[in-house]
Amino acid sequence: MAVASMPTSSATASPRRRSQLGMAWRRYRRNWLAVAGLVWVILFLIIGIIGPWIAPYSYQATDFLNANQGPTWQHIFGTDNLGHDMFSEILWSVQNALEIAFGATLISFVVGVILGLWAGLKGGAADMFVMRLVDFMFAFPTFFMDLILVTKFGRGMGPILFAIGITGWAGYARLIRSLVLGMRNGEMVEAATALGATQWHIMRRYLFPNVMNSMLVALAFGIPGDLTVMAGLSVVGMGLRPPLPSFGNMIAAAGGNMLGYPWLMYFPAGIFAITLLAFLFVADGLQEALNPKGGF
Amino acid sequence: MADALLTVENLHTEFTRQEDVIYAVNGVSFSVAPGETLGIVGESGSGKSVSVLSVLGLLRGSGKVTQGSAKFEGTELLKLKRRQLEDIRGRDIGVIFQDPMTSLNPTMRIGDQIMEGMLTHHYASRKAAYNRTIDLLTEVGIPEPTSRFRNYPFEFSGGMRQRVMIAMAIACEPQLLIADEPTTALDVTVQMQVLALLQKLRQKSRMSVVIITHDFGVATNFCDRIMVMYAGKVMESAPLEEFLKRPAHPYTIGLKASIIEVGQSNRVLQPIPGTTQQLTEPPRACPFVDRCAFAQDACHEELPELRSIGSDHLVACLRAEEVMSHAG
Repeated sequence: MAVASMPTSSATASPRRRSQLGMAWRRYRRNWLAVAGLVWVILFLIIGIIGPWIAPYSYQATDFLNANQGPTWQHIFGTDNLGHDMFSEILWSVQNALEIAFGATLISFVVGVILGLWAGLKGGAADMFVMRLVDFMFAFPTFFMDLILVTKFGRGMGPILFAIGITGWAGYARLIRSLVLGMRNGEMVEAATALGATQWHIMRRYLFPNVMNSMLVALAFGIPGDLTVMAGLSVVGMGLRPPLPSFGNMIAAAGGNMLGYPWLMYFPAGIFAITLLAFLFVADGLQEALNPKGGF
Repeated sequence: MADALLTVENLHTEFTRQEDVIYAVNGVSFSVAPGETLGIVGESGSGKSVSVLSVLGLLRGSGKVTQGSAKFEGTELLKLKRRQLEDIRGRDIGVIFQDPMTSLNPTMRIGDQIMEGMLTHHYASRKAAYNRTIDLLTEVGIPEPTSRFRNYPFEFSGGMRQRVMIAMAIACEPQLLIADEPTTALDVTVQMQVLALLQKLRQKSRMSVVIITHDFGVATNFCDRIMVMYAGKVMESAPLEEFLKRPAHPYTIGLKASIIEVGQSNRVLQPIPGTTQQLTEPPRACPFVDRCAFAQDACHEELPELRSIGSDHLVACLRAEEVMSHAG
């Protein structure tokens, strides 16, 4: 009796819809580092949006009487040599960092996807041309190129975003090309062609969704990369022009007074490092979660 | 045959490689009548898939049709523009491929994939296409079609995926269904189920079927007419009855002697000696001569033409009559 009723109850108990996304999320959830990273990234995003409003001081406000102070209740992360409140500076920096990281990565991504798809699908001369361009980008020291572009176009938000974006597309293009090449001659495309699908349709409904997973992972790995480049520009003095705050500027400025005022280094560098790690954990988690062969 | 659905004549296909040219198909002719099932049989590399893919303009890489004609309902397929060919593929001619595991798009629900063809060919409205998809899923034997509609390919077994592929191929009610090794990637019991399904669909809709296989058992159980290919040429072609009773080509006899059948443990299997060769130049003598037990001097010098040796029975062998009497 009990044996007979068991299977029916379990069969009716789980009519749960299994969507691609739902399953990806279930796989993602198993990796606690990835979840922790995601929490931090979301927090970072929220601060990026509302940071300027919740900051207790303006990023330009100086308090000379309380310059170079350690953490107090008034300035919880301390103040720098001009009396800027470090906590407010960090809140503003988050916004700048996000704008550049997402903007630059988006530029790289769009350029990379278009060139990669084109090269992979067309093959022949187009492929040759794009891949030699990619080779050139890889061979050329990108950071040097960024410096040249920033020197040429100025140290504002737009030029830096553009400079980092335009030099970072080669990796995306190469990845997407290889993925497309692998699929172009595969059975899936052959079957679709045999049933009358047009090239455009195959690109849109077959190739693009199937490379999307890998691209998303590459994108998640690309964002911390671009953040690092942006900070690197500040360290050599070619980052965002002060007084616009950025993590790179703060860390570079704090380096000289490391022994005297170490809190100026601890807070920005610590938060920046955790952010980079958080993005990497998210990317890692996505890589596992989006793998269609990853099971349930 | 005057009113054939598909007539292929003297088809030649080559693949150009960096160092040489592979002559994959060398003058193949065949025709498929409405409602007829043609089986194309041959070893790997005998050009059976390539000859059919050439007709549909589905050759990959450097493959090129150099000569010949392929008329489908009077339309010359080999001269059509890509756009026109796309209209015919999937609508008038359905295709099933060998490996259902890799032929479906993993990012699309299977219902959407079946509907896709009908929508691109303007065969039905979205609502009608949905209803037909549910009917098709039922017809190809997928239980609970309304909920399975929303599943992704990885949630199906190999046999089930092949059923989905079949549903996709017949969605627009094509007049001709081409099945390129439809059962090769499946295990034996599933093979029979899929074949039985194809049989049922064929009888119901009166469509013509071309089935490409290297499995003699599949071909003899399923086809009205069998064509044996070797080295990109037709070796023998005959209606099933005639083919089984009076095989006239040594290669056909060799193929038959090398099949394992259930309950014949006392019979000695006789593999055909040697392997197929890469055709880096078009054959000038009988391509099978090096592996043939009946070979004579003349066979090394002359290229046997495909000739008639009975009602509707074509064979390309100089010694066909002797072979036939020897086998009989």
